[in-house]
Amino acid sequence: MRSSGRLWLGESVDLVFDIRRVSLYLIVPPVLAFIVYFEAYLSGVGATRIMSLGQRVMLALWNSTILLSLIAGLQGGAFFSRVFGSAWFRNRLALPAGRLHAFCWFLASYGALVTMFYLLTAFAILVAMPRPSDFGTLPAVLNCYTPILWSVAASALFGLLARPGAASFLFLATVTMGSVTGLPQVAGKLPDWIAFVLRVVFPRLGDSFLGSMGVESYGYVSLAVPLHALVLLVAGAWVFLRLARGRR
Amino acid sequence: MLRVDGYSDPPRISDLSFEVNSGELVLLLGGPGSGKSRFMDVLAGLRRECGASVEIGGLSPADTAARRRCSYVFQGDNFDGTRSVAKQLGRALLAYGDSPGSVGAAISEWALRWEIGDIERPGSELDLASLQAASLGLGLLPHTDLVVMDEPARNLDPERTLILLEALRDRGRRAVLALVSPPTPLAEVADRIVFTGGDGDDEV
Repeated sequence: MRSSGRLWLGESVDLVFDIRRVSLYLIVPPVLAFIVYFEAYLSGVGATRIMSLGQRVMLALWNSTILLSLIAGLQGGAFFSRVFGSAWFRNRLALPAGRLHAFCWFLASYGALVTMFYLLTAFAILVAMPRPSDFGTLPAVLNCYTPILWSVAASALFGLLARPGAASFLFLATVTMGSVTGLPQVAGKLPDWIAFVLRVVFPRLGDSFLGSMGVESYGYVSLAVPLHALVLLVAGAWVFLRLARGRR
Repeated sequence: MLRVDGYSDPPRISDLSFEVNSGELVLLLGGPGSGKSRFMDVLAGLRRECGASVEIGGLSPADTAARRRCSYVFQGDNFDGTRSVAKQLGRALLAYGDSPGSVGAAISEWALRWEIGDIERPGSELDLASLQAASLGLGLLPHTDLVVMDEPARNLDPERTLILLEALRDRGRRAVLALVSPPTPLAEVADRIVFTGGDGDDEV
């Protein structure tokens, strides 16, 4: 690896894998276990519709995705804002290393942290819960992974644009809009052009969720969230390079 | 090595032009708030030149190849206060292409020479003089052609100021630009002084 890549890899791993940051993710397994148990109980007493085994596994995977995405986005917005906005980080950009490396490595390290926890959680779900033989494990795991990638990309962009608290708030607002506009009960009441604009601007998290649960037709929606994440990544890199040259 | 032509930062600096050649130590002298630190950002490629021509070895400071030939010491915040200074200094040296085997010894020697004490500690736990001495390592330890330093003698006690003057005298073919406020002990080792107010150059 070139020295410039090594510099930012080291710096990002130091800060991202700080024990105080990692420890927050330890709440995911107990909360997830509680949710899965609670949903099974509600279904058992007839409070909710009886779900198929596949739907139960899918719902558990989605619960882990939602939890991890929220933690990654809320914490990530504040983290990226704090790091990218700090004077020492800016001064470190004077070192002879590609500046885009700084953005990419911080994003990659943060993404690796969240991915690690997602894989552990998904593995635990797949081992613990019975699923039908025709259950598409890999597509399900990948589909539930895309919102996590989106959260990391969004938190990095919002971290560049706003102060720590505001970046987290921006993330939460976007997630809410993305989830809500995907729901037919909401989107159906909006004028077509507003619904269209909202669907372009916000990630189609709601559609993705309903699609994977077999409630709505799936289709190209599964590509909408990763494409949205890619747009946010490119926008983040552009903003980062502009800020690195002192342009506002 | 460094050429600045027509740099302005109104109302503080207007039409600043000068060169720093190999082996030369040039002081850019200006009082507090005279725009030195903003100019430092321009030299590090962290701010646009605003119509001026600034070149390091014929390249724009924003160019990674130009920054490979130049090392910087900012007025503050050279290190993240929460992590080991030695580790951060080591990473910087590796970025300049030093071999991993030589970095540890170079940092230990630097810490010993500048009486930094425990350089492995986070920046927030070092006293200001030790932190400044470690920051000077960012500028003087890499084998670069040009060193740019903003207020290098700031926070240094008299003993360490003497070490700095000695290090600057032993600069060899290196070009050094120091951005300083008057009065400065560096005047005694400088070849030339340039004023931010555009009052021309003074040979020392």
